[in-house]
Amino acid sequence: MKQGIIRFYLVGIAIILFSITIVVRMVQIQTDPVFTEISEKVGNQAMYKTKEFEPVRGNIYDRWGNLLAGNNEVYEIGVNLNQVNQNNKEEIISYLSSLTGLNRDYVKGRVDISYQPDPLKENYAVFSTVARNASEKMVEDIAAAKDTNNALYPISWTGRLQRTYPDNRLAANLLGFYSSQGFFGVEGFYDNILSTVESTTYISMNPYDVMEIPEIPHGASVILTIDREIQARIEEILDRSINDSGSASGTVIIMDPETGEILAMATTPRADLNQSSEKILAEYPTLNVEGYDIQTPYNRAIMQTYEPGSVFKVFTLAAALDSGAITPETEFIDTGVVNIGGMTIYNWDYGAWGPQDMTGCMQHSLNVCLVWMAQQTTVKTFYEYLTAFNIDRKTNIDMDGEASYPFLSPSNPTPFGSDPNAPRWYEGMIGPHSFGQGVSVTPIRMITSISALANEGRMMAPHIQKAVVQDGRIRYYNPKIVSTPIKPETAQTVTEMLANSLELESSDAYVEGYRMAGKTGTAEIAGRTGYLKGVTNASFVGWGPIDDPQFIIYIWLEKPKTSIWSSVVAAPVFKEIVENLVILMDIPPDNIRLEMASTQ
Amino acid sequence: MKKKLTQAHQQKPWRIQIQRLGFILLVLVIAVLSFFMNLNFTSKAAQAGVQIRILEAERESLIRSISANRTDLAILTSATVMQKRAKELGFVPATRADIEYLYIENYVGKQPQPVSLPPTVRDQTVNYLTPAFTQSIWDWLYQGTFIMLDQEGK
Repeated sequence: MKQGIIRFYLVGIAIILFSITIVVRMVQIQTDPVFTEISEKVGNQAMYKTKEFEPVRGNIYDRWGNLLAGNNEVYEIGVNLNQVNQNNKEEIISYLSSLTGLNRDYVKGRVDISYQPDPLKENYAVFSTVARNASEKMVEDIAAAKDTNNALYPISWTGRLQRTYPDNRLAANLLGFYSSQGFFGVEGFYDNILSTVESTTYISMNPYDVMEIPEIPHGASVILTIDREIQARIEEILDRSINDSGSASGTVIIMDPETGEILAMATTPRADLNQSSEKILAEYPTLNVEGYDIQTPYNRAIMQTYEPGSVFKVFTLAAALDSGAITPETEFIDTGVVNIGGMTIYNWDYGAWGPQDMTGCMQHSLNVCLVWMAQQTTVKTFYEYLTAFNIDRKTNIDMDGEASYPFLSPSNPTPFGSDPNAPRWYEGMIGPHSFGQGVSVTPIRMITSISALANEGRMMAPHIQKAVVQDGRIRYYNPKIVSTPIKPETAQTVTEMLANSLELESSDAYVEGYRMAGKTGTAEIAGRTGYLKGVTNASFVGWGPIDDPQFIIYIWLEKPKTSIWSSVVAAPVFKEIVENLVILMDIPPDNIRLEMASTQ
Repeated sequence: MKKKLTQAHQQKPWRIQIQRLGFILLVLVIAVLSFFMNLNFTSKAAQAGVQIRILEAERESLIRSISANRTDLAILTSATVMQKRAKELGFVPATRADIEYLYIENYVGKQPQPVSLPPTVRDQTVNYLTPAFTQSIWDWLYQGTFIMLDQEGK
């Protein structure tokens, strides 16, 4: 009996000691730094999940609210590696390979990745992506297949937004493109407001620990001044005219001179924006031109400088008239040749045109007369006017990548340094400058400066943003005057003279029923050792209707083959654009418009 | 000597046992009730927590879906598609010869489509989750007790 009690107590003591050991060990584990670290790590892995919040990139609309750049939902399809085993692997590979059209070996490689849940290890892998940018249809097919086939259970997907351009190539040059960040055009310039900052938050997986998920503001949307219908029509006309004339490239810009709004801006080439950035950039190859490797500009209208030729003469005429050096009736006897600063300058046809008034000089685009006009203005005043027209600087249009080329002038004679072989300004340069050679500018620079002539002497800041939609509000862009280079009367006189010269010339640019001012420009192209033979840049600038200009058009065809003359290749393009534009912009012919104005 | 008389009485042991048992049972019932009440509350809270997660995921999905639908609509009405459809329907681009201009009083011309305005971002400093979703039952009890005591103190 006594032995039995002793045994009973011994068992009791053993149980108590065992319990104490467990408690001691528990306390030891709880307080041991190694165990604490492990338990925290394991606990956090299960308790918290990293969640990345990608804000929705803002849309881009044309002036009428048509979507030019938006976002479409695509899916990333993959497999949860911990659920893949030898029994279902082959079936998953076969199914995903046939559904996505991806190579079977590639899919196998993705599915074969070993499961490794430790994020600190190099081969950390819990999910393997098989296909990116999958369509909604594909995901629906997978969901249906999973319902009937348990082997496909490890396949899962996550949705995300992908930048999409509903019109593919339309306005590609001005929109730019998005690939993790905005490049070129509007996408590049307004990247900061179209996208807001991505953020990462730890989300507690404990359902009792409810937390508010931070709200990431969406990117602002940008409404452009572009008119989609005009843009589409202009691109169609430009592509056809390039094809017809055999030109290397082409550019057309249409602007509202009163506000500086860009209504259309077409250039070539224009990539399909709904493809990868590598494929987009492959459409702008590097070409070897005259021994130089030149990257094809994404948007020639703002990124490529060139010598504009005779369209530049409108500045010489405006400067001479505004300074009082000439009047429209001033007479000039054209001898067909002039020598200035050691350079002999001829007219475009090497002919002598005899007595001419200033309208005649512009109508026949006489280089000799324009040199004389600049000389009459005086060197100092001539360059002061060109500076007032901002020829020596960028327009600062709200698009990425605007280019400029140093302008040689008395105020900036050695922009390329003091090397005696480097180009530098000297007084004789007033000759070629007076008719647009020896000066290199972008088409956007030209149209912006010339728009002052169509807007009573006021040059407006060119812009493509009409409004920004952000935080539930629309903020409209306020047009800005950047310069007033000439008096309103001078602008009217130049406009009238150029309209007369267009009519008197019986130009191919003449549009019946609408009085337009216009000027052709055929420019020689500089090579390594001088100007190239037989190739030109053909340009045309025109605006109207001249009593109330509602648009100004700038056209540049690079190296046309059917004819080197702007009057032959560029003037008809101007006519066709105006004929379309007056319909798309609801501008009645002059007589009807004036009649309507008188009845109101 | 006056003899004091005291009356001694004692409850029967079975009555005392019943009273004790009753008390223990009462405590047990209260404990069980409290346990189930707590279980009920916490399960509801967990359910609400999970529901919030689901709704938040659904909201994200809807945002993507709205954006995608807007783009799909734009694709269906893109310049190229509309031109193609117009051609198929027999329309041709108008020329100046086809157009007659009429004076219409108060005609305001072509108007832009309304652009959908994104919602204003909520004030990030304000907590929009009510305490019902974040408080534990103990927090609720303590807070309730303090409020009651404060009110009595007044």
